[in-house]
Amino acid sequence: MNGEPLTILLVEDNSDHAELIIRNMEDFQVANTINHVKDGQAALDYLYGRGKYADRKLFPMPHLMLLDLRLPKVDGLDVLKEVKTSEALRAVPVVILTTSDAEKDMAMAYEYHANSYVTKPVNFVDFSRLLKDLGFYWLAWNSHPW
Amino acid sequence: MNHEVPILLVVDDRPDNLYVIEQVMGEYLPACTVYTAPNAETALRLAIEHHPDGILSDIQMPGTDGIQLCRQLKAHPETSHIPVVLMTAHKSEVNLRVEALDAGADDFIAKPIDNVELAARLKVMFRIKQAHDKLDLANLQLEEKVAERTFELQEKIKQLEQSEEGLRTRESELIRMNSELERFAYTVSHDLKSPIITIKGFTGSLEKDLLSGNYQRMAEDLKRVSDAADKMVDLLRDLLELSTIGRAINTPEPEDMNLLVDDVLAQLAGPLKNSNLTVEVQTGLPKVLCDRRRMAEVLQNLVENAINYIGDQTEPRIEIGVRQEAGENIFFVQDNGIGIDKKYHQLIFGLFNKLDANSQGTGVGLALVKRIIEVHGGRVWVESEGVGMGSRFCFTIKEAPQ
Repeated sequence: MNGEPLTILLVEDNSDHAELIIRNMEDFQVANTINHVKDGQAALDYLYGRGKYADRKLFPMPHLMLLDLRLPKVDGLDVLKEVKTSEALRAVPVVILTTSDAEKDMAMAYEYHANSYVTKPVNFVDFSRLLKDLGFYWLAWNSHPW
Repeated sequence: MNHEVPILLVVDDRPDNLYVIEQVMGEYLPACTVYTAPNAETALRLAIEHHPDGILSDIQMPGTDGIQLCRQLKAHPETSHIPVVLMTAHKSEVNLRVEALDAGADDFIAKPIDNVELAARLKVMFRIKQAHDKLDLANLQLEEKVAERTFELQEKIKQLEQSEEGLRTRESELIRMNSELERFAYTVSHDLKSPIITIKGFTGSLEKDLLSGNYQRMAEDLKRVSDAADKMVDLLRDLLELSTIGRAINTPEPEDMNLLVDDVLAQLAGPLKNSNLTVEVQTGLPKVLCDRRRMAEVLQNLVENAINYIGDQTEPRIEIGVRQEAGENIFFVQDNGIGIDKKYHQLIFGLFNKLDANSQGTGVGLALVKRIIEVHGGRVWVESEGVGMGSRFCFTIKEAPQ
C-alpha cells in the first residue's frame, strides 16, 4: 500500500496454467513483477539468490509465492518444507496453488506450514476471481516483513 | 498275544507230571491250549514261538532249572511279559522263594499239587494276563493314535505356516498394488484435470477477448486449447494401453529383431523425416523370444523418446544395435539428443514421471517400456553421461533358441 514494488514468485511447471495466472494477475494489476520459474530447483535457486538469480534487484524476495505441488526435479512439498524450515525464507507467504484436491496433499501442505492451500478452479470465472482475490489479499491487505 | 483261547506252556522234566497237568487242564480248563516242554531250552523256544499266556514250570530240572528259565524268560523281550508260575516241592524253603521272586516269578504253587487250586490259580493268571494284554493293546493303540494325531497336527501346522507365508506375500503384493493404484488414480485425476483447466481458462479468455475485440492472441490461445485437448487424448490412449498390459503377455515367439525394428521405423517414418533424423540399424541382430506386438511398442516408445528429446542437434542421429556383456545380449537405442542427468536415471521409468512438464509425452511411455520388458523377464535402464551428452536406452530380452 506504500508504493513499493511488489513481487510474486510463481512456481508452475505447466506453461498454459502459468500464462493464465500471469494474464489474470496482470489484468488486475495486483503486482509489479511476476517472476515465473518452472521447477522446484529453480524456485529454491531464486529464493536463495543462487546462480542466475543472484541479482536481487532483478529477482527480489517475493511478497507472495504461488507454489504448484507436482513439480519436476524438486517437488513442491519439498520446496515448501525447505522454505518453512529456513530462517531466511520462512516469512515468505506461500500459497499452494494446485490442481490436486487430494486430502493427503492438503494435510501435508499444512503440516509443512503452508500459509494457504487453494485448488485451481476449473471454471474460468472462478479462476480469475480467485487470482484477483489472492493478489489483493496477500499483496494489498497483508503486511509483509520486507 | 491276545489269544481267543488261553495258551499254557508247562515245563517239567518228568513226563508223568506233564501228563497229570494236562489231565487237570482238560478237566478244569478245557478251553485252553497246552504246550509241554521237557526242558528249559525247549520251553524258551516254544515261548518265543507261541507267546503263551502263562508258563507253569517246575523248579528242579536237570540242566537249566526253573529259576534260571524264569530269569531268561524275563530277560527276553519276546517273553518278558508272560507270567511265570513256579512249582516248588519245598514249601518251607524261603531262600528258594526269594530267589525265584528275584528272578521274576509271578506266583508259586506247592507240590504236591492240588488240582483245583492249580486250575484256580491258572485262571487268575490268565485273567490278569488278559487284562494286561488289553491294557498293552490299548496303550499301543493310544500311542499309535497319538503319533497319528501328532503327525496330522504337524502337517496342519506346516500347511498353516505355508498359507500364512502365502498370505503375507499376497498381502504385501496387495499393499504394493494398492499404493500403485492410489498413485495412479491421483495422477490420472491430476493429469486429466490439468488440460481441462487450460481449456476452460483459455476459452474464457477467448470469450473476453472476443467481446473486447482483442484479436491478436486468439490464434495462439486457440492452439493452446487444441493442444490441451490433444494431450488428454494422448493420455487416455496411453492409459488404455497401460491397462491392457497387466501382468500377462501373449506366449513369446521367436522374432527377428531386424524385421521388428524395420516395421517400427516404417511406422515412424513421418516424425523421423520431420525431425531430420538419421537412423542407423545394426544388421544381423539376434532373434529374440517375445510378444511381437509388445516388443514393437517398446521399440516405438524408445525411438519416439529419442525423437522428442533430440534437442537442437545439428546432425540428429539414432543408432539401434546390440552389444555383448557377460554373455548377455544388450539391445540399445542410442541418440545424440539432450541426454539425462544421472540423478534422474531411475526416476524416468516411473509412471507419470516427466522431467519437463512441457515436453510432448504423457509420462507413461517409459513406464510402459519397463513393464513390458519386465513381464518378458528382462531389464531396462538408461545410460547417459549427462545433459547434452545423448542417451542410450538399453534392455535385455531372452534370445530365441537356435
